Amino acid sequence: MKRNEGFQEAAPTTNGNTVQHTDEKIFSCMCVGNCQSRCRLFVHVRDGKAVKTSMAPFSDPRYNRVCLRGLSHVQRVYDPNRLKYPMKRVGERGEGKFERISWEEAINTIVTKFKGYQEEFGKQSVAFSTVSGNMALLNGMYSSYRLANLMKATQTDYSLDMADTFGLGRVIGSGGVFNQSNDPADLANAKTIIVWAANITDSHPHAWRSVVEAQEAGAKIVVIDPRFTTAASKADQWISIRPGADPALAMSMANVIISEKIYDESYLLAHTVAPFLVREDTKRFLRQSDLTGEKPIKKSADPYIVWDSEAGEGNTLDLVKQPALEGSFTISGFKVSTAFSLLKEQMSLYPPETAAKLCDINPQEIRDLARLYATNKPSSIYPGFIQYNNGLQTGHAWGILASLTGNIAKTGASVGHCGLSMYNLNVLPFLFPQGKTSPVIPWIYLKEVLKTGEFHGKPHPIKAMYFHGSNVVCNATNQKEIINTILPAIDFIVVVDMVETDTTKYADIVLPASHWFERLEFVQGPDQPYTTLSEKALEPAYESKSDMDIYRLIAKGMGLGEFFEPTDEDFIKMVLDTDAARAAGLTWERLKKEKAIQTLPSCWVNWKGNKFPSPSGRMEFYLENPQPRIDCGIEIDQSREHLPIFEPPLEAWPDNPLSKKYPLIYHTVRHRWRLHSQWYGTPWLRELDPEPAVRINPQDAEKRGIKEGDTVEVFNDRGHVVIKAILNEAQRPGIVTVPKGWQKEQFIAGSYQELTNDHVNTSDYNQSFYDVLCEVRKV
Amino acid sequence: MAKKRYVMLVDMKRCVGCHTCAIACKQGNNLPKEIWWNRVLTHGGPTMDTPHGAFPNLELNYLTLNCQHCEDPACVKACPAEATYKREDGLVMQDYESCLGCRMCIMACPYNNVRTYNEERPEYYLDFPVGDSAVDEQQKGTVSKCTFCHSRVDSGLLPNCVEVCPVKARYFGNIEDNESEVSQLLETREHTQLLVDKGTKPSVYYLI
Amino acid sequence: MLRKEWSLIVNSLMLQLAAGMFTFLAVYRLILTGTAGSEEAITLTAPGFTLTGPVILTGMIASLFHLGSPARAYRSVFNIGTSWLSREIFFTGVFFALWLFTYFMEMRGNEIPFLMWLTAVIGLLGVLSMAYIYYSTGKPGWFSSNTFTGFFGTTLIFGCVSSTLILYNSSVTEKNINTLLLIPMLLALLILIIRFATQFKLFSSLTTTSGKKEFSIDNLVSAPSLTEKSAALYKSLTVWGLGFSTLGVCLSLVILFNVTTGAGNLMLAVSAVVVAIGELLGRSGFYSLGLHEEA
Ligand SMILES: Nc1nc2c(c(=O)[nH]1)N[C@H]1C(S)=C(S)[C@@H](COP(=O)(O)OP(=O)(O)OC[C@H]3O[C@@H](n4cnc5c(=O)[nH]c(N)nc54)[C@H](O)[C@@H]3O)O[C@H]1N2
Ligand SMILES: Nc1nc2c(c(=O)[nH]1)N[C@H]1C(S)=C(S)[C@@H](COP(=O)(O)OP(=O)(O)OC[C@H]3O[C@@H](n4cnc5c(=O)[nH]c(N)nc54)[C@H](O)[C@@H]3O)O[C@H]1N2
Ligand code: SF4
Ligand code: SF4
Ligand code: SF4
Ligand code: SF4
Ligand code: SF4
Ligand SMILES: [Mo]
Repeated sequence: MKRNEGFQEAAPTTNGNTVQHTDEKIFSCMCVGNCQSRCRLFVHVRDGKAVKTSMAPFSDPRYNRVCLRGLSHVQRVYDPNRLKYPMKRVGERGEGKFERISWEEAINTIVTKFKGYQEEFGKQSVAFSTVSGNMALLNGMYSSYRLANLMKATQTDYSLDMADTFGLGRVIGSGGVFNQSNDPADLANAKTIIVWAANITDSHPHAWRSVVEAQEAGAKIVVIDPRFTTAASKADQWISIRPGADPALAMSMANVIISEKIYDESYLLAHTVAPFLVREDTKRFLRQSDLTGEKPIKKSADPYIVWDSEAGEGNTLDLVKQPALEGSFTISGFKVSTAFSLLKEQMSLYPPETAAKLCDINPQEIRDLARLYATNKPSSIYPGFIQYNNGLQTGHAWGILASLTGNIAKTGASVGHCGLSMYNLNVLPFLFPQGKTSPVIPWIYLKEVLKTGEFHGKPHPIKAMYFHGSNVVCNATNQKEIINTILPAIDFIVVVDMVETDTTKYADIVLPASHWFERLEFVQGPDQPYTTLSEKALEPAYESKSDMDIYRLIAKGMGLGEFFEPTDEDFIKMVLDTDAARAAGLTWERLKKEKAIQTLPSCWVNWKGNKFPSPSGRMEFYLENPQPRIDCGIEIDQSREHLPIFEPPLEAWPDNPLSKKYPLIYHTVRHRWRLHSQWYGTPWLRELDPEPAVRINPQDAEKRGIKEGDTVEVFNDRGHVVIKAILNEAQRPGIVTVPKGWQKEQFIAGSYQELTNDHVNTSDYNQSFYDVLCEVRKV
Repeated sequence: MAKKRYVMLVDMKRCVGCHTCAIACKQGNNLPKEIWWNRVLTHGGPTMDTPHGAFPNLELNYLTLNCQHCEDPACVKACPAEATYKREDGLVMQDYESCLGCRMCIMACPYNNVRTYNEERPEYYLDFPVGDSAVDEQQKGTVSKCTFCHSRVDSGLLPNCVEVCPVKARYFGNIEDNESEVSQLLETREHTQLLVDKGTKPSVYYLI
Repeated sequence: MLRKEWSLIVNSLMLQLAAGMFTFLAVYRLILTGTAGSEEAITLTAPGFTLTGPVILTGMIASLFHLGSPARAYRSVFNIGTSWLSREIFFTGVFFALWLFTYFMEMRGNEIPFLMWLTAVIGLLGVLSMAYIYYSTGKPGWFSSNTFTGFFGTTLIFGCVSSTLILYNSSVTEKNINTLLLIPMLLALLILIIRFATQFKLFSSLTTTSGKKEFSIDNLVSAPSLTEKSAALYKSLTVWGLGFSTLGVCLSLVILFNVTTGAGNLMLAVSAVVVAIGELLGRSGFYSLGLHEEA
């Protein structure tokens, strides 16, 4: 049975939409914000104006998708807040007073400043900073890599979404990149799906479709979220966990799986470090070289030793048929235990009764969930991004759960985030034509570098910053610190954006970027199996230019013009020049004609054949040598990271004395009405979602004399936001939620981002957006 | 020619209230400011996205509401001018050129707010029409409502709102054809219609 | 609040005045023809007959202001088959046309009683159709026999008061006509009493949104029920309206009973104004039922 039979699901070719008049041109474009979906859109153009965006088809209709934002682009192209021409600041920073200047003057100013600083203070004194405004290749978050590295300038790392991601990534071996899970479409093949800390119907509605398909085919869906989300309302089970207690829940599940022996022993032995022997003295895996005393040529050529139970001795992995899963042994004087034994011991700290208290749930819920996950297979954990200081442990514990049950690298069995891109491309010469030369400073650590003037113990002055695809004043933690400490420490600030934002207000030079449909663009993945070309459907509005064209101008001034001589098309051809791409049928000619080429199988399975990118090639749930995500020259306490230990959140925890003063936990989740701060002024969306509001449980509201629609102040020591209150039973008592992404001027006073905490976690260098306490009062 | 009667199905189990259908309608039909032919109602608490009940015993559903293209439309009966009328294939049409703006149809329709009256000249955000070019321009002093995207349907395209649903909760097709997906779904899935006791016989079915 | 509804209020009151007045005068003409002869009867009732046309016309013109596209008003009779609005406009139109015809015939001295009765019946059918417009919406307050008692009550009271005003103190042979006028005025009082009773029954059964709605899909999608605000407005306007009307009718009765001096005419006019205010208030109350959220 075909869906909506007899009708075309979407116009079949770029000109086949028969309702349209003949003077309408249709272009194939991509929606490239960081919602991870990368939907393909048709842009309908009449008289040179974009009049409509519609869902464009992929060859596999399962990937046909769009959302309300993708259908509102017309109003973004003609957004009343669009930046029209280059401007220079004439008032105080933040005052918003600017004067129109020519592109020539803008570029000359930038080049003179950049050159001057680099000569006087060193190459690193200019910093390029981006987050996720645009995720495409040529003009997106990677677009400045080429220029930055050629200039040997500093780059900032975005410091977000990297707590659980890195925690799990260390187990898989993928580290701090997003590529972990199978294709989200593969969720449809699961029998158990745990939606864990994800506001999935708002943040990833297309993944939710696959979850629902699984559910309709009989799968069990469990949602772990303190709030009663839309997903929770549809799930088979909802577990309203205490915020920040997730590591305890995950480890307690591991505890149950181990104590009830419902783990997959053969998987543990074959594909994880379970049988590896951990030295009591060094906490490292015992290797052949430890026994022979001969240093191997390469570490990877130094076989792991496991315990041969039959022979009653240790031997190299390849020689032992049935390695011991458990036990402590002494081999050539080395006291060792299997990694599994250490895991078992560590997890024994979290029996359901103990964990249930931390999570504020029923111990039976933990047992049931563990059994479901371990036995109703294939099971997938679909996570959101953990926004607490202990998120690293949560991710690590998910890695343990997958290792114990083998719920990874199989159809329907998957864990972690999705982000498979650049898998058959030649991006290095594009991004780093002269190699990686830029020092990378995590955004969250930048304040420290600016304060001390040092990075890695060496002087590291930063005088100029170039922001693109980033609205850092709106989207990064502790807004007042950014405004009052970080930005004032920078002499010269350039912000490139399509629209006026909280950040453009603090720029010395503002440059207008063209809209996504006003330039040629190249996109691969990351959560659909296509490689796509996004056509230039429109001329850049006003005086705007594509980011790449702006780099071309700056590079020329910096004497690096030759590197930017290739056209956009040339750059795309450059990255396409690989055998893998050719083998996948991915060529410029085809791309130009077809616009979207399927370059991965539908419902691809990641880590096929259980080949993991970790040093051992196995799931390393025990980390012999845990390292921080980014080397800032700061040592970490490895003893706390070989295996996860429950650490309460930094701030948002009942034991915290601060919770006397600020008893409420402050969440800033995503809603469908915006993509972070993007679409903030889109009129259609503002009709539906006209103003920011804080959601509060009626019990909490009553205690404070707050009624529906009252204006309230949400505050803590860092700052405040004045905002309308909505009473909402979906809120777990003790938590208030403000949907994120509103710009400062959209609040009655303050900003949602004034309250968040810019604590530096030196393992994951991630911003813990929800690890925040606050109080609310009526104004 | 075989008989045709178009119906729309909305799967309430799937619908997550994302409003993509509402926006698709707004854009595709070039709807003026503040006019929404397809609205997404929260079946829960009093405000959008709030559940019914008390934490943690909660219930939340969404229901999208557009003109139900009734088989026995109260609006058509009440309209003095034949400005709203039913087509052979069941689509309840609205002709701005004939509409008096007497609002009898609004008074007669039992469903909340599926028809809207343009008391003033329709206002838009942009100074050129957006959406499908075959869409009629709305007029001051007339009533408008969901048209089941008749010009799209006539050229073999799905209604805007049906095409875009991210969770594929919307279906459209010919109920007279037993083989059609809509017929099959109605055969196999539990479903309901809105305000059956009003006798309007809606063509929109909700899978529950 | 009722700013948008004035045209409908005027339209409905005018049609009911015209139908009531015309019908009453037709009846009086019949009675008077018996007692005073046809010529006398015609002269006495003529001013009222003459007035009927302009009253209908005023109502019809007022109704145009309700339309968003008045230029298309001609289309409003395109659906007599099912639309009560079409029927109402049709009957009103025919009412006016018949009146025009009879008027011209009478000018020429041709009285055609059959046409007169037909005109009255068509006028009353117009009132009936109008009542059905609201009744058939099924809306709380409108979907009630009160819509009929209200519309016909107004027709009767208006007919009674207007004809009394026209005929008062005219000496028909030796007998004062005022005794004849007393009976319908007493009937009007009776109707008012009945309306009071039925209104209070309706008041108590009106459901409003503020009374916590049951959690159901039906309630979610139904056209909005009455807001507390419009219900309150409805109630108070209705009570005030009935009060004024009763006051006016009672005043008229007192005058008809006692006053024989020339001041009676003026006093009766005042009481008619009181009745008119009463009906205006009552009708405004009726339309406030349709205000819902948008008010
Ligand atoms: N309190 C709180 N804060 C958070 C989070 C939270 O949960 N709570 N979440 C965090 C997370 S996970 C993320 S990923 C970040 C996202 O933070 P950002 O990446 O800053 O988010 P956006 O608002 O999507 O994009 C930033 C800007 O890029 C601009 N832009 C878009 N396309 C282009 C382009 O082609 N060229 C140029 N030059 N500019 C462009 C947009 O107009 C926008 O102003 O927010 C973080 N902030
Ligand atoms: N519409 C829209 N979609 C987006 C984005 C957007 O801005 N708008 N941003 C994109 C980006 S960059 C990202 S990173 C993703 C993020 O995707 P998600 O992680 O799904 O997004 P959040 O809105 O942060 O949802 C977090 C959920 O976790 C719950 N939660 C809070 N604290 C806890 C806790 O301690 N434990 C558990 N178990 N749950 C908790 C919250 O109630 C909330 O429902 O979304 C992407 N998709
Ligand atoms: S915003 Fe994301 S989900 Fe929506 S259309 Fe664009 S890419 Fe797709
Ligand atoms: S698009 Fe689909 S899921 Fe979204 S509100 Fe409409 S019917 Fe529901
Ligand atoms: S839903 Fe209302 S407007 Fe639509 S056809 Fe039925 S009665 Fe008419
Ligand atoms: S407003 Fe238009 S469509 Fe509605 S009843 Fe009047 S004439 Fe008919
Ligand atoms: S069928 Fe067309 S007109 Fe009706 S709600 Fe859907 S998009 Fe709007
Ligand atoms: Mo993110």
